[in-house]
Amino acid sequence: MGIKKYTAYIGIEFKHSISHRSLLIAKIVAIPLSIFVMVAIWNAIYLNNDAEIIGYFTKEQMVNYSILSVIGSYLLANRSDMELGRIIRNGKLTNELIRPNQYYLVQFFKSLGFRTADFVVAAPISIALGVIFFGFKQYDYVFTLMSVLSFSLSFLLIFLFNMIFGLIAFKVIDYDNFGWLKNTLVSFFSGGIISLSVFPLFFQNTMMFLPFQHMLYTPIRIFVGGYVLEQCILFIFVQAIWVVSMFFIMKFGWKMAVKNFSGVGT
Amino acid sequence: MQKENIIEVRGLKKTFKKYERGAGLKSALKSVFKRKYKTVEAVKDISFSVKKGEILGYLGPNGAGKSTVIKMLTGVLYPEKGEIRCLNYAPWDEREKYVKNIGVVFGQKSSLWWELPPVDTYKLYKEMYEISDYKFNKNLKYMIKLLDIKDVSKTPVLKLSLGQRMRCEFISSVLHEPKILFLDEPTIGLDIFAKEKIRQFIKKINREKGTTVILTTHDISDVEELCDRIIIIDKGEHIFEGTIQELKNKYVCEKKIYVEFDEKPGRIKLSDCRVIRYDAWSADVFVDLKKRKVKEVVSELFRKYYISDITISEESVENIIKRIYLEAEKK
Ligand SMILES: Nc1ncnc2c1ncn2[C@@H]1O[C@H](COP(=O)(O)OP(=O)(O)O)[C@@H](O)[C@H]1O
Ligand SMILES: [Mg+2]
Repeated sequence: MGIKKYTAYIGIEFKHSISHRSLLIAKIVAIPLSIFVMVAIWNAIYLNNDAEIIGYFTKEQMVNYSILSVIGSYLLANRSDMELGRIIRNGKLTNELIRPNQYYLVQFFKSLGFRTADFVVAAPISIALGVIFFGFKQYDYVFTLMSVLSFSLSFLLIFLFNMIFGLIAFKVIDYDNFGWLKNTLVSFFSGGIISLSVFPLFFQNTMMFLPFQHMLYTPIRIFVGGYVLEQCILFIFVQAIWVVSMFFIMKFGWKMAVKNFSGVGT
Repeated sequence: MQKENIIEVRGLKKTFKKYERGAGLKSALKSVFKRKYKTVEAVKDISFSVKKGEILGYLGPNGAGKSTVIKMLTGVLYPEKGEIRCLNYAPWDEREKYVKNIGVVFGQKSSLWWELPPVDTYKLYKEMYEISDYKFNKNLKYMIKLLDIKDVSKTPVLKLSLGQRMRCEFISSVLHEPKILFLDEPTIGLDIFAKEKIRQFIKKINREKGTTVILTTHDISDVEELCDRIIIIDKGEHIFEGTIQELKNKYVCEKKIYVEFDEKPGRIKLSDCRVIRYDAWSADVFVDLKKRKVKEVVSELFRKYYISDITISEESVENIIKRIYLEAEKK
């Protein structure tokens, strides 16, 4: 059983993504701009409140959090659900099902391929700009390493969540509305807009039982030194449990959906 | 030698639910929970088999159920009822293993990456079907020549003409030398030149590699040129199965004799024939084959009239099939 037939998708999607060169350029402009706005807002908030710490974070941590949340939102963003909606609508899912493949693996490696250009170009540029202009800094090698591990799990988690949520596309004509709604909610509940640490405690405690904070908030908070070591290990473990459970939910949901798939379009 | 059945279908059935859905988020949300639908019996109760190396034409008017059958045979759709064995696999249950052995072309759906040259997609399929370098290069070169393709390595698919694109599409579905090739309206919208290339191609791989071909098409000349046998489906049921000759034997009841006269014949009288005259010097004589032989009518014509020229023609297959569709429509 070759993995090569799937990894080949990384290459072709990479080529595909750089054939949309303007998109990459747009990101290189958009990411630093968003970072600039976020940092400016937090600077103002800390200044106005005359506070040392807001929601467990010092100003420096908050600035770093904001930088990483902007970059992370872009890098971890995943359009697998929208893509599924699109190919169900235009009938191309049929083309996928006649291939000796598992669709979720194809889609996973395509996502990796599509993000490659972002990983190697947009992210380093953004981080470099963050270091130069906003004093972005690394806290501790151990935390950074754990954060990278946690980010990888987030990538998987977001992918799997999208593949599961995207199954709605089998039931509705225009999935995109659902997709946008979900993206907005996930972005909020995962700490992509504002760090979850600034919210009331009961809200934070509720979020602990949901997968969303593990999609972005957890790895960033680990990076900025917002957790002690034991907490880091615990949360990475929780992430892994979510990944495994979602994998099985996705497999089961997909099987049911394809069984009822009616192959729209002729 | 009796050839083995490569495809066997028994009692196949598929019903679709057609949902009534409005536009917009609100009605879409509503439709997730509460839905109205009608059922459409797309395929009712179908049994047939296909022998190894055969080219089967699968015909029927729009909405007859052809694509639905093809999708069930290719493992895309779950058969609601009945049994399918293709190459000894159950297509849906063993999809991943099964589809490695088949090739599929849907005339209305591209499987190539639009923004990239075709060769990039081919390389992807090379990995997917685990085609060796040697076989890949050999097959690609051979097919490019056979199909007369201009450029697969530089031009992105979206810049190719439809004729070129369809030919590239064919390559992508046969590079791995499938045992069965399913073609769902592969020549739709193509010019005569591209059609001809594709027909030659189908013939060649059928002959040289023994590929079994299932073809749906609206172009009857495709069928006449390629198919050993045809099946006609209408409203989800088979209404004819046999060779083209058997189709003619069963449905052709008239032949036409076009006659030109040296001398004005006045009134033409022939028993068991319909005579249509457009002018004084020529006539179309339709012979009712159930009652008379063409040979007899011809000699009667020569006996009774001064004839300068005569042409005998039979009803075109296209016309026969059109009649069959129309008759089925009335039922
Ligand atoms: N996904 C679907 N949902 C609902 N009805 C469908 C679907 N696909 C096909 N049908 C219906 O099933 C019938 C057969 O369709 P199809 O197999 O595409 O016909 P053909 O390929 O012969 O034109 C048609 O009445 C069509 O409207
Ligand atoms: Mg069709």
